Amino acid sequence: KPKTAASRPSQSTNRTSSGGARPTASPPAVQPVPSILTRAGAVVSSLSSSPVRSSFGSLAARVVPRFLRPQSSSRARLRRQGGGSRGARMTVIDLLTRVDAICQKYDKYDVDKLNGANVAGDDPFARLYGSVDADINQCVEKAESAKQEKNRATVVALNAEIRRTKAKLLEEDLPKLQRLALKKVKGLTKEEIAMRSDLVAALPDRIHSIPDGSSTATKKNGTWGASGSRTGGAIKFDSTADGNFDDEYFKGTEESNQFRQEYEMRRMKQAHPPIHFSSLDEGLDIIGEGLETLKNMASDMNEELDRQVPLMDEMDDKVDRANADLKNTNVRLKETVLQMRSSRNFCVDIILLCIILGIAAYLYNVLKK
Amino acid sequence: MSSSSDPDKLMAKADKLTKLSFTRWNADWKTATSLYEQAAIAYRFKKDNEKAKDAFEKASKGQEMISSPWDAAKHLESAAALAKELGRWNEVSDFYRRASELYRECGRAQPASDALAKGASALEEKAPEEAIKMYDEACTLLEEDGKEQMAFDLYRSAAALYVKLEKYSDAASFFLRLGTAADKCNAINSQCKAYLSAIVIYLYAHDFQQAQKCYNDCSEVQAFLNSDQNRCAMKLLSAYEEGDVEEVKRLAQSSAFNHLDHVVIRLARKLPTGDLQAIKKDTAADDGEEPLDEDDLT
Repeated sequence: KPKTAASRPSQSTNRTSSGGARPTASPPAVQPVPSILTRAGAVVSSLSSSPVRSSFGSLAARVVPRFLRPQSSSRARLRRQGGGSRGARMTVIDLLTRVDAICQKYDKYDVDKLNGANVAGDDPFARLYGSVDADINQCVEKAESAKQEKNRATVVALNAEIRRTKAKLLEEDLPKLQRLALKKVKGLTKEEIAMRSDLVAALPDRIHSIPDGSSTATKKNGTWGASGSRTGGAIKFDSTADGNFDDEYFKGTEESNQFRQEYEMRRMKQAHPPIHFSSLDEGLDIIGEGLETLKNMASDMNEELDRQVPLMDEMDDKVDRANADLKNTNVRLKETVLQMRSSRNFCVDIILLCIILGIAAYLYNVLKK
Repeated sequence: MSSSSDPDKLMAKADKLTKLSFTRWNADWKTATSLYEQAAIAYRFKKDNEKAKDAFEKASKGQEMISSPWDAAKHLESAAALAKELGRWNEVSDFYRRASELYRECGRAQPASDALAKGASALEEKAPEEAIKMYDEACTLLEEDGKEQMAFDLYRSAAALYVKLEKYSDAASFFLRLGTAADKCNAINSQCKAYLSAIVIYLYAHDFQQAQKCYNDCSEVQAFLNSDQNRCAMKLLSAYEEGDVEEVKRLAQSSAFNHLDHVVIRLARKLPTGDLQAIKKDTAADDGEEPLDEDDLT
């Protein structure tokens, strides 16, 4: 265990010397995020301020036991000493390692680390910024997965989600952030406030730069929009709808340029949203109308069939009755015919016929003579 | 059995059979009826509508006499069709009504209402009042028998006729009746369409209060509440309240209305009628009083 303690200081010296750059090895083996660790560095550097140290120390005292337990008992000893008094072993370097571990585990408290001062997190700006940041990261991840996704439908769905989040961020969160950034918060220096405004200013670019498949699609949007309105009823929903194109798909011909101009003109005419939805909206509208017609026809058919069901039942009954009657009649007829053709009658018939023939032959003979 | 194809002779023979005279004490309706039928068919073949009609009438009477109301009713229907071609409208209505009664005697409500419906459609042009009455009776017949599903078309035709006569509240009431019938048969789509049509008619008649009331009543119905038609109606009424003509026009052109009865579609396209501002003033006046009341309560 002393070895680990020794090795760690060497590692941490590397870390402190390199400042922001991070090696991949770290005690709990969690992915390091550079920003967090710069913040960790900032935290440690601001350890000089006593309120920070005391608050951090209390935090350290609270969280360190939770996951420095598997480590050496020397640490336990140091823990008991508390963060405030630095014993012989408890160097800044060791503190750094602890901070490292804590940061990686408590990623979600990023925002607090960023501001350094308010670890408790009751700063609305910090919270909102944190959530916006999380959303942006999520969008980036989605964009990444969208790029790799083979299934077009999922690509389209992902892009749509990304666009939705972007719109939401731009329209709701950004103004709020701007407002909050301007507010003076207790305990923050002027530089912090300026930093906040800069961060907020940087956000729109970050948001817009998230690839949602519509940037390349704007070139194709012209064709889609125009063709959508041209073909009208013929709903061609082929793969041109998703925006994940390489540039090589787009061959700039004069026609497509024309379409693009037409599309731009139309966009100017209507109040255009910040994100280019209108062409897809048109297509979706057409599909919607078709579906509505289908729905109406289907429900009318449904009602008609419901109407026919009792009629069919009635008919079924009547036909069954008629069938039974017919069978009955047939049987009786058969009996009657059989009786008519019964062998007794038949023999009598033959005998009588023979008698008549005999009489006729006799008469013939008599007459011939 | 005379097989002569001369209908006049057949008729004469049949008449002789039925006329009671000194030598004849009972009329022989059976043979007479069959003779009448043959004569009637022959006349129809010859396109002699007048005589055919008479022959059918007499045949029907014969069938009645031999107590087969079904055949009697059938003959009366044929007679009525011929009368329609001749243009004797009161006879048409008479015949169809009697046919319907005979069918009812047989206990068959469906053919009865069918007969009335045929009569009504025959009379739509010439005697719309009479036609309306016949439609009404036909619908009532089916309702009583519990077979409202067959009545949907009748309701729609009756309402269309009312609209033609410009009796909008009656038309709307027929649509509401259709809605109730549909409710019983669980035909949600027809029901919602019927309610929406009623609202449209009220709006067309420039009767906004009624439309509102109608809408409120219909919103009680759970099925309507969840339907597209409900949303459409809500948007339409709110557009009316705001006095937004463009919005009303846009909504009326929207696809939700395309599935209604074509009469109603025509009305919807003509919306908005009259002065929306007047409606706005009315509703504003009403609303103006209410907030005061609320203030009083609070």
